[in-house]
Amino acid sequence: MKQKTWPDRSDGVRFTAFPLSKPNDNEENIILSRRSKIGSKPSLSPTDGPDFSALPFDILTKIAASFNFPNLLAASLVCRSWRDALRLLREAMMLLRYGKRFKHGRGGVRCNLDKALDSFLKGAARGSTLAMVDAGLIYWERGLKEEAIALYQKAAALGDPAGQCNLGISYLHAQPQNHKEAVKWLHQASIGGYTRAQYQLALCLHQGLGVHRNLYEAV
Amino acid sequence: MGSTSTKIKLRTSDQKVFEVEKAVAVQSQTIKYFYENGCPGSVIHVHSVSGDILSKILDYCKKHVNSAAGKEDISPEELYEWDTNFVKVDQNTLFDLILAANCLKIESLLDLTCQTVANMIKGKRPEEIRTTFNIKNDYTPEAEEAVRRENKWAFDMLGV
Repeated sequence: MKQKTWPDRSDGVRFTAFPLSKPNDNEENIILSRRSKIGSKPSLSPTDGPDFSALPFDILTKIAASFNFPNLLAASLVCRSWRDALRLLREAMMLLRYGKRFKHGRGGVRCNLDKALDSFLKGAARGSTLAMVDAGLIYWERGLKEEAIALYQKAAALGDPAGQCNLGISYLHAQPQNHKEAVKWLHQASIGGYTRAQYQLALCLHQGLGVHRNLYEAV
Repeated sequence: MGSTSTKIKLRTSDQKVFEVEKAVAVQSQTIKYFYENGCPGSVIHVHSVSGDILSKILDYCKKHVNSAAGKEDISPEELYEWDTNFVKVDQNTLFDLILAANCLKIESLLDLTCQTVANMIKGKRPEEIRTTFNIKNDYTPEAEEAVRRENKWAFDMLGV
């Protein structure tokens, strides 16, 4: 799918600029150049192998977008560069926590869905797919399906099985229904080990929804 | 598809030239931009990507273009399978693919490669992650403690 991930942090520091050199020979040439060359071994650090600690922050945010807290903490403790890269996602975890307290009326606060949604959206803006899915759920319950689907799409593209499953189910309920997309995302979530998606997918396949399927996979 | 005969020429960091179907090449938003804003027939220099990596990336783009255009009868599940095999590569290649996908702005390939790395991280302890990616631990005990403290509340919340 063609959508951009969100939030778009492509203004990150490293690896993003495209200095456009002027054509300097007879051909009309367009030059995409960067400070370091990808795939040319000499540009790598003197130690053997690539330097994953130097990954651009926006890429690390993308990698860790669907992490739960234990995974996020472990990744943050790998090196200081990763710690700095993942700071926003750790903030998102705090916002997710606040949101859940307001959603369920826990921890001495009264249930307040507006505040819950606000918190989830702030977490989503920091890149956490968990917050995107929770915000999407509130939108969906309020009948704001387009907003919900937009959030599920972002979470699904970032590899969140719950986001993929909810997106798949959304497509089954959308007007008009989109069985092909639904099955595609339910399948991905199923591979990610998401039981609810496996069940839903089996139902779809059993009913013959979503393309050329046989019954064997449903069993 | 009518316009598939149009070709775009790409030249890599190691001076290899690829002549690529336009529909395939413009999967890269960067190439698309330079194609649309450059002179017709010009060679686009992909100075930051080597021939080996670009060749792999073009395989990926071709597969996805063909499947989307219905030229190849492949189910979403089979395409997913193909993608999974595509990223079964050594770490050098994976690293280069990530940076190249980012540089060329091929969003779906960037998602795919990032998720591959994510799966290599999930469920591991910091020292295991360092070993996996050959990363040096540059934490002082104090700095490490600060991160753990910063997130102490979350342990209570998530019950871990």
